[in-house]
Amino acid sequence: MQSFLKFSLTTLLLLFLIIIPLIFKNPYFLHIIIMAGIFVLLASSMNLITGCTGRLNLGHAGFYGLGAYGSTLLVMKMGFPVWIGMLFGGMISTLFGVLIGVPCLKLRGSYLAITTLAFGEITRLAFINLVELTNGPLGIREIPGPPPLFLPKIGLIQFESKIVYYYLIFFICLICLLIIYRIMNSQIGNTFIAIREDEIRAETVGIDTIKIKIINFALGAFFAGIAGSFYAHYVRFISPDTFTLNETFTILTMVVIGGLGTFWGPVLGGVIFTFLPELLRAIADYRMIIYGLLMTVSIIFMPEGLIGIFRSLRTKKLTE
Amino acid sequence: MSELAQQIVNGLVMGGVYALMALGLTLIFGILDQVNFAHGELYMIGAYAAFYFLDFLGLGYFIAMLMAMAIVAILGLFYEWILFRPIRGLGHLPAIISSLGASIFLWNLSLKLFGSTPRQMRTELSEVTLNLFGISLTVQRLLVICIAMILILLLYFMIKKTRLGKAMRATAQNPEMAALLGVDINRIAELTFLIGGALAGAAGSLIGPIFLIYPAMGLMACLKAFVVVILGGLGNVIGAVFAGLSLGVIESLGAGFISSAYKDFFAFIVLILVLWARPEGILGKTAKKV
Repeated sequence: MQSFLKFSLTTLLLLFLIIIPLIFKNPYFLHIIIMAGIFVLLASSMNLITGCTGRLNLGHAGFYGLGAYGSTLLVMKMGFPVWIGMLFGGMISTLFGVLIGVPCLKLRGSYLAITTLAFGEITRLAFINLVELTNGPLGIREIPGPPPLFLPKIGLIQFESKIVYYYLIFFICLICLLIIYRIMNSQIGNTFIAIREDEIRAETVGIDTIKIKIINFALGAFFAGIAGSFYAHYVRFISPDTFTLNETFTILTMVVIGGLGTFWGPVLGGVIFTFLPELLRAIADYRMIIYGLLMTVSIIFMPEGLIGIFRSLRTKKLTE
Repeated sequence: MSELAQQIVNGLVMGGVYALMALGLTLIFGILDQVNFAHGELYMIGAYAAFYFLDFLGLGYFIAMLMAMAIVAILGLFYEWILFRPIRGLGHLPAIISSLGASIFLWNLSLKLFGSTPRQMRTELSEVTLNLFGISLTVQRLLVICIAMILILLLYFMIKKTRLGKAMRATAQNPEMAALLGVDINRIAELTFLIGGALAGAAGSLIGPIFLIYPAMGLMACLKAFVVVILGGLGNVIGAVFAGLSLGVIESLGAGFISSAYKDFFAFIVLILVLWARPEGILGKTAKKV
């Protein structure tokens, strides 16, 4: 009964997502939904690291930016095809993730949070200072979009309208989230949680905790890089201002308020916190003040976020 | 030669500030096993408090500094009550997130309250320049080193020689045992945050007249202080002092002789090198505590 309900709800949600561009044709609205897709991907990938293994990654905007800049530079300076460039954008993030992750993840405790916080700032400084490569604070303009794609039965798809980009991010999110879902509900997902709950015990039952932590971190960085490379080829303009620490904090707010360590939490958080500033223009200026407050209050009073509240409501109903 | 000496002295000034910041962090880590990501905001608010006391109330510099230290120490106490006590013993992650949230909150609130234009604190001490052996140094810079050293020595003797210090060390070694023997852990935690806050407030009001004061200054300072804490060995007081001074000198030499645009890179490179080569810190044995 439970699983049937879950299945039908998920199917309904997917159907709804597929018909969205047919109902809402407003390009501004579609743009926000596309951004929501990017943030759902970013929040879910951060959750994979922070929620599942309990290692705080504060350099997420850095990985996001490395994906964007990596893909853009490969396409524009080295003539890579856009699709390959996007994939390589993810891989560049992974590479840096491993370089940063290995020394920190060999150790227990909070080293990763500190090092990734520094890493995020350093990548931003690098984007600003490596002027020959990145055009400094002015950013890179006129990034090419993906080439026309021929799909059997549908025909030639031009990447020009928002609707096409909507389906592209929908497709990317679907695949990435499916992978994340499978990872979280598999053997390796269980080892993540074992490490989060008690690393020493995880080690004594034979889990190679260092290897698992590095794999986990590399995966998170990869998905963030993919989100970044999609962003670059969608907006067609990138600058260091997009990949700031505030971006990382926003993503962390999505994960914490949505629900740390749950699959749906970051998805919910990503959608809510992309739409909220647009709906409440008046508070957009005070956004970060509110996010900071929400983060603190949420971790103290509802450590499992909104999803945790839903769950406890449901179990209450079931036990009554 | 005098260029080198000048850079080293400048580095020591900055290093004194890093050491003051790092001491608070390392005490909180060593004694309570919690990581305070909102430590930089204590420093930033300390600088602003001193600035307003000095400029608007027209108090003398030393009185302004003492008042700033008091205010920030009390803010530290609120940190302990609100951010850390409710989630003590639940591991590192909740404490990091709750303090990070507070950091974002305070930083952006200050941006609204104080504005984003940097402020400059004016004291008569930063006008006077001394010339010693070809090194020019304002009295203010000399003051940073002296006051930092005095505070560090005071703290050291407090920890090593007083009953309270003994209680703090006992809590660091084994909180349950200390509690059983009659140490009130909550009092010790409050004391630790008071001390950490006062030191960060002192650091902020010392640096105010030398550099600019702006709401985002806490972030980089906090990061540097973390590097110092790791470099000195987590929870190691003497290590933090040496590491703070070394990081200041390394940065100053790097900025002077390599490139000043990449000044903040050096701390990061030091961090990564230490994590690869000596994660227990340059002075630490194995994460030696206070």
